[in-house]
Amino acid sequence: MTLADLAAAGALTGGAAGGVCFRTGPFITRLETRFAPVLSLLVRFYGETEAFTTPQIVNFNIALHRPLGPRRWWRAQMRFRIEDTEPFEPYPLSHSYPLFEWGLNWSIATRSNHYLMLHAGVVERAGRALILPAVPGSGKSTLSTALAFRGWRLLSDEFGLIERPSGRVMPLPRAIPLKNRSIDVIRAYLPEAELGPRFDKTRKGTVCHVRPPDDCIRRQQETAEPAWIVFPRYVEGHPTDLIPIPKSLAFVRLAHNSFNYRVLGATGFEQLRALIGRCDCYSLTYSEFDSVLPALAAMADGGRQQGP
Amino acid sequence: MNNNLPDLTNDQQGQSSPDSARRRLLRTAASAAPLIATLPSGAAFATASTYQCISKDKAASAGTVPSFDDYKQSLDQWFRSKAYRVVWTNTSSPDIPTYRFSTDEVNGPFYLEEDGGLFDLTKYPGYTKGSAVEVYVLRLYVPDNASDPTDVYPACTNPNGAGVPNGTASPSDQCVFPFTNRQGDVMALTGSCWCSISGDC
Amino acid sequence: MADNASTQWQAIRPELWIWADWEADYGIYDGGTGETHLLSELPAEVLRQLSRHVMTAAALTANLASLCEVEMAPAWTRKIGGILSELADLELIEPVRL
Repeated sequence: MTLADLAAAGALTGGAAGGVCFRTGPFITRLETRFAPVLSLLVRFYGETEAFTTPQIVNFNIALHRPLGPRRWWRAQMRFRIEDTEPFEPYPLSHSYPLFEWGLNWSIATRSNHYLMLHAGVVERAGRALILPAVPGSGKSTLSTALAFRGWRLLSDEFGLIERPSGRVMPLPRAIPLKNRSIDVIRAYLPEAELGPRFDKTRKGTVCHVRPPDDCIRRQQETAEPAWIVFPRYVEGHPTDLIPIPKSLAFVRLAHNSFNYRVLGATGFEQLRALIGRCDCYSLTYSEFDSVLPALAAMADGGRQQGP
Repeated sequence: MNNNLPDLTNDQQGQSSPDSARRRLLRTAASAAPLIATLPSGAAFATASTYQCISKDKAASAGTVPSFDDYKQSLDQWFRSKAYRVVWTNTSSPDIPTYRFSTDEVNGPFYLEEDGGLFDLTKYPGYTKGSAVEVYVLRLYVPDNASDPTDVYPACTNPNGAGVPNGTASPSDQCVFPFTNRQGDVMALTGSCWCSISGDC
Repeated sequence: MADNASTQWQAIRPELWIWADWEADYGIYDGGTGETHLLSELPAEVLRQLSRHVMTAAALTANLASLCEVEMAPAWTRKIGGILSELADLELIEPVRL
């Protein structure tokens, strides 16, 4: 059963009676909310995802509720709750859906230390994963979106989940939040991509989510072997430059781009060392999709890197 | 935990001697500046918040903070490292603060100015060396990426434009760019930024 | 810097170290402090030797000079002394207390 099936049957209820229980990659999320716009977007973006009507062991119990009192109506707000904690200030009611997405990200990043978690986009091709770690603002999400619609399966635009002990990458496909200029870039380059509503004046500017391709949702329990680590950087007007980098540098950069490298201690070091050992590592500077996408495809088709 | 020390020996009789490849690297390393650096604490979240912290605090900094814009694309290549802050003085001209990272006393010592360029005393007549104070700085890590195994420490160009020479004459084999320091109570960054970077609080 | 050439040095709990070996650089995770360090060849060799034997600074300096095929000059002694000082600051090595 999927979320779309539940909605079609009129059984999608986010109310107090159980909430909506659905798969989020390797996790099971339960969302409790009566706010129809959030439920509507949930089905729109994740309609193909597995939904549960029987009791489950839930990883993230999330509630989105409007406050009681004047803020229910005047400058209306939405509050995010995970288990018994309200970790954020309330958001404007109009930003409820981004609040859900960012809140779930935060919950995953702070509670999933059984994985090595990289701050990275990840896509897959022929069973092999391309990991795109990047500092914020480097264009990772935009590039991940383009790859997801051009020959690669999206595993995640935000989290590289590395499983122990296999070292394989776990999918966590989510609606991809594009910000500001990236929205128009993707709208122009990928007319087939379905974009959700624009949310203006959020804390990150204007945000608009891309619906992940159905295939990546249906296959969200299919792991991949890590094969390439590419550190992307968008620079306007720059030609595509895909340059092999030493593994020592890849290690340093990946440690910086991990949510929980230090928390994991020795395990994190060993996992990262092993991951680097399995992958060819590159830095990438680019500005044009028509140039960078073929370059990455050629890298994927080209066999093992011969380099430092 | 296992002590999986890299096995530098190929001698099965219990004698300790590096193989030929390692010996070659050691010979080259002997004439180069040694690298000892530590990953800053806080990892991913710290890098973005550190940049924000430094950007906001530049105006309030007690010390000199070189232009950060050149480095913001390399937020994930930082290490922290110990250095010595050496101030060169002249009775009639402003002081010149420099940093000495190298324990490379074979070819040096070498001093780097705050923009990362090599300090050339011959260009500053009348200056004398003042005291050296231990500081901690952030360094941009640029490792050996040469395909030629004999070129262990390739040239590195300071993004500010002051090229640093290659080879045994170079103290900046690891592209050292000092852009903050803690020196007693004088900090180029506020305490909160420093704590974010170093965890040393 | 090493205060005394006859000071004996030892590694601090090298059984808690985990190494990564990349070309000319090494990564080392120190389980004792939780820190991750990056070392070039010469400091890594210092740690390797001190993890196997307690050594005086003088003996270590001579050993390394032989391995690196350099002369035992005062500048070399200062260089090794500087490395010992930095590694001690990072709590990877310590002088032996008798």
